[in-house]
Amino acid sequence: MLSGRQFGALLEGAWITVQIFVFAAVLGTILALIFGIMGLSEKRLLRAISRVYVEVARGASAIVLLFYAAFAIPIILGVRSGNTFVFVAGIIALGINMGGYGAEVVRTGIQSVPRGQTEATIALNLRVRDRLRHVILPQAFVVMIPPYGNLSIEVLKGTALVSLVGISDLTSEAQNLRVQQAIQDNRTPSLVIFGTALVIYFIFSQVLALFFRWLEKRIGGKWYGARG
Amino acid sequence: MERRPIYMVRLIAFLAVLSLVVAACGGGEEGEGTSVADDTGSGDTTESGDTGGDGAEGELTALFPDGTVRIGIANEVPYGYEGEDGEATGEAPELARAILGELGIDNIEATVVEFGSLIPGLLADQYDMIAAGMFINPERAEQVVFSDPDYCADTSFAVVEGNPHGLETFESFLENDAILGVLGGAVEETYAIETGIADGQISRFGDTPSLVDALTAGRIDAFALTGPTVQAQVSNLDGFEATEGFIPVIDGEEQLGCGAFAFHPDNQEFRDIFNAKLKEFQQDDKVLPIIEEFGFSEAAVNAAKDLTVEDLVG
Repeated sequence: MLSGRQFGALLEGAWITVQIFVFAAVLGTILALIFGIMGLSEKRLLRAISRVYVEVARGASAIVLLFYAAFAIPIILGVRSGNTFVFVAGIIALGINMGGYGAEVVRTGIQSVPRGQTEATIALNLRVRDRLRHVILPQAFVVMIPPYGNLSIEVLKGTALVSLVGISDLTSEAQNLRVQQAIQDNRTPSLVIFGTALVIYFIFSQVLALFFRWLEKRIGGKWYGARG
Repeated sequence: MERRPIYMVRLIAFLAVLSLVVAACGGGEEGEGTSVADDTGSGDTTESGDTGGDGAEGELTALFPDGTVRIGIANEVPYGYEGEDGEATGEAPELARAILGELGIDNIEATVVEFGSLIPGLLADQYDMIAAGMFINPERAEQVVFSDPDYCADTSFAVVEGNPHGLETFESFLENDAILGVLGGAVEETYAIETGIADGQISRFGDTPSLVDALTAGRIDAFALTGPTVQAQVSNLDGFEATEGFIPVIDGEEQLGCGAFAFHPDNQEFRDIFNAKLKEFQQDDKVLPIIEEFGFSEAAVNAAKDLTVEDLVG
């Protein structure tokens, strides 16, 4: 079993993991909405910008983005790195990566709303803003939420990558405990250490899954009149 | 219909604001960081006290006015790792702490990264020096500046108690079918290949704990690392032991591995001040008492005493 100190170390790492995930998910969601809606614009330029962003953000692996943000950017910009810098860099890299996938979820979600709905809003003489806000997006959100939940869980586990650039997240703390096996009187088996980390990640992803289930129900119930 | 542009304008405005926010974040980081690197240190350097320096002390507090030096470690027992209290300890951090302490630096801030990320992190200015017992070699010396070595280590195997395969040097593996575990990319892997050990007999792993797990699970018959590392690993491992240390011989040449501290190439001044103090420590025999507890022998310390970076870069 883990000692209290070891468990405390894992929990401290878990807290860092939560912070990185939350910030990355907020950034990723903002980017996803912007570029997802841009991808449906009638302006060719905006569609092109969205396309380029999506392909670059999805195409570059998260770990390459992460190393780039953590190690290359400070050299290119000539700024002094440090733990805060790497923390922010990790969030931005993961957020950009998530935004690439998320933009496609947003775009396809909006496209899944039948054309007739848009035509109806035009017939009712609604403004573009109101069309999106009151008719299209509410229906699109219902479609977007399950894949978005999937993506979020994926990003949550992807946060483990930041352990490679020196951020003390859950994975990093688990590795740390493994290293400390050598200086303990009694070794803690790796199985126990990683097993505990596994359970913590599992709990986090379950919380996320529940949150998205709740969101699905709430938004579905609120907006999807037909379902009552 | 005529209102459509407003929506797009809003979108573009939002994007513009976002990019400003991102830029502001970047800028803030920059501002926050400049205090150490750019400070020319005109003012008071009287902070440090009793050690009675030779001037170097003042120079270093001028380079680091807040009295803090950031070190990078790779979490390797016994070279540099986070102790159970979360503080950086090990051969290199403790020696660095002692040397920097005499130079007026009271606070050390450690960052743990993968061994392979140590140099990239240093070059990105994530920390001021590498204190991980990193071996000096020509490839690394092209990217960073090293201090003179503070220890030289031999190689050793961790094996099942009683050493059933009779493993003594890398050549031993040519006579039997024992499986050798190494860290991918580490010097031991190179030694094993150059000795001519069959590829099927070499098993590569990512970190030291994985080597230990593989050995205890019976997946490998031995693993090769530096003497102090193997000693540290088997010390609390029942049923396993360390073989006697040896210096690997490749193509008739002894491969002496000597570790040192590494600095950013733009930070030559820091390196020189640090190195002068390190030399002083070595002349006064003050190195061994500090790193003895981590399993380093007098021989390891003495082997490095009169060596310089140039001897090892060749």
